[in-house]
Amino acid sequence: MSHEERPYHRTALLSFRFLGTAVIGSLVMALVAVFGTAPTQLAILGAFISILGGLFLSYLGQEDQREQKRAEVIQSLAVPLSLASDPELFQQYQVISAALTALAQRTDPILRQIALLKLASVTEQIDGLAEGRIVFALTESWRTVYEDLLCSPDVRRYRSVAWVQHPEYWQDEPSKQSMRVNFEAVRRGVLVERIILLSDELWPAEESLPSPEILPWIEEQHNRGLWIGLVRESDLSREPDLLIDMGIYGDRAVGVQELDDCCRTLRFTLDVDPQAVQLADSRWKRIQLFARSFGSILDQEPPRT
Amino acid sequence: MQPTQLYLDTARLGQMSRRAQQAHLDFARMAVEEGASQFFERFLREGSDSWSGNVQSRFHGLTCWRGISRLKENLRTLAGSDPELPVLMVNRLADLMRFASRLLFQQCSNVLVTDLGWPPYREILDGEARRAGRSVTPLAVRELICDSQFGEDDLVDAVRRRFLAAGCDGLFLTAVSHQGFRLPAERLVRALEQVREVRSIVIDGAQDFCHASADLSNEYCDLYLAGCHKWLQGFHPMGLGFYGRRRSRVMVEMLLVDLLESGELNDPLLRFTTQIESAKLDGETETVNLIPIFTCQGATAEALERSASVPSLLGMRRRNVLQAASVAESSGWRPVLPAEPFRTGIMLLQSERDVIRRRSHRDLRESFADEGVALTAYDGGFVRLSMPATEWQPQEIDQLRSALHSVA
Repeated sequence: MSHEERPYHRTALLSFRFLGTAVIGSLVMALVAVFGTAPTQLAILGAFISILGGLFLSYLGQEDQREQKRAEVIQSLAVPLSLASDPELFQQYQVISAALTALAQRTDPILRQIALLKLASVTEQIDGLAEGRIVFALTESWRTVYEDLLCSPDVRRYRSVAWVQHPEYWQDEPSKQSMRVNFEAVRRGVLVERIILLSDELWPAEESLPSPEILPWIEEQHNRGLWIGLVRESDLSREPDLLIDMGIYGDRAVGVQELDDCCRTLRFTLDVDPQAVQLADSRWKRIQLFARSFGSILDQEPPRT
Repeated sequence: MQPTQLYLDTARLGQMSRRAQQAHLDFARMAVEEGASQFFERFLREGSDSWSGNVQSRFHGLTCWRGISRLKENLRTLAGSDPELPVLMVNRLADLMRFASRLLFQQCSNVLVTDLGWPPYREILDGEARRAGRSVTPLAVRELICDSQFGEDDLVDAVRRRFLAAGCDGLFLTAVSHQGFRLPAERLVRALEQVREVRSIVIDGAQDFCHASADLSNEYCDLYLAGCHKWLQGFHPMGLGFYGRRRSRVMVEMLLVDLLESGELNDPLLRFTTQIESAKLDGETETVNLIPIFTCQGATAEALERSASVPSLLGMRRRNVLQAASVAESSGWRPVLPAEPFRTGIMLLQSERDVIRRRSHRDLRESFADEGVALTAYDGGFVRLSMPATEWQPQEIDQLRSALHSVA
């Protein structure tokens, strides 16, 4: 049998506050009852009751404030509590919190101004991440995520729309590397389907095949086993929202790429929100209505000698 | 057991043709006299054109050999298509079917098949579908085409409806089933292409080539599988893959190179013939069994020299089916024939008697062998007969009648 020391709790009835107040109050009322008239006794009793009422109301007001503060404290603890189950994020939270605490010690107003601007931008990015969106701006580093997605075992189908406005589209080294990842995905059994939107310069209306500047790029993908569909940009003149560069990775994510005039990435946005994937899927189906399969176009051509 | 007097099992393995036999015998003699000499290697690459008259008479059966490329041209001619288009040659037909499955599921998510397919091929197709996370949509047509009222238009309609309803985008068709049921493959392909893109089309022509049609003049499919050991009568098994449709020719070749380089496709004859055509032998030629290419060349030469065309030979075989059916009906056997448009030179019979139907297929086959008749038997009292290409001779009909009576 354990003999643990139990903590000692003294009853409130034996506390000094209660005993002292009760004894003094009782002595005062006893003196009034002995030496005072009936109206005086009543007046003093009324005064004591009013004082008691006032104290009670004041207590309630303070309790409200205490409750509010408790709520604020608990809420401020909620973030680290929910993050505690995610060690990687919790570590980042601690680092950021410590950095903000250290920043608060800096009093330089210019530093503070710049810090607040940068923090606003960071907050916006974190908000985006929380909504399932990752944005890469002015960098080709999105290709790492892109390639990881294509190599992911649960992505068995990759649908892509390539808006080719310039023959240099996806001709730089990072793009060639990404294309090799496409071919490897086909080899592993991923169904890769690409609809290529071509400007009228790159696929003139009177020509059965796209121009020689872009045709080898298209042919290589077709010959490597990608399903290729072609659309002339002019065919989408009434559906400008379909002029887009995007990829749908299984039903996991959708990526949208924006390019500059030199076909370099301005921005790549990856969205894992199911609604965004659904929207991309319906967009794909709409574009597909305009697409002619490259295989069927080739079949109309005379045999190669 | 007595030797076979009536061979009706071409659908399993054709009897070796006369020219194939000559090539076989002379190749064996060359193997004894030359082994793997430079003479042999040069002959293999270039053929017999440079041989003196003496050498030609020594190896007369091999004088039709003009190299791998010429063999492929001859096969293409036999298939009614452009001799310049390519042909794959393999020792193992299962490897060819695996390649065909990879080709199909490269671009297709859902391939339509019928229930006429040869089960081992269907297993390979299903396996590849599982590997790639794709679908196979089956369509039961066997019972439909056994209905005498069912015509080709009805079949086209049924296939089209199923293809569209299931959202299929690929097609694997058996042109002639191992039980002798024929599908109008090209007509079906065209009908489907009118309503939706068919991204990839593979036809199993193992029982079709040199028997029913195998007219590839329009290059309607991406890969046509055949063999030279059944109706071509080359005897030694060798698989053939005809391809060259404009949209897929390079795709097929790139996939082939990819799989050969990775070792996922490792057929010795395929590797050898690919290398010899590109003049890049890798020193493994000594391990390849080459006899099938010579007997195939002999059989092909004989087939090309034949005056009767494949359609006219089919017509003769179909008439033989009717005559054999009549004999069977009076001998206790029920013919199992599809409707007239779907008939070929192969017929199925089923015994009318339960005691025969309970016998194993091995027993049944042996019983017919004891009567001097070679055929294939199946459980349930079924036997398969491959019709001769010439009109029944009276003694053949008598022998067939006698065998059917005895076994029944």
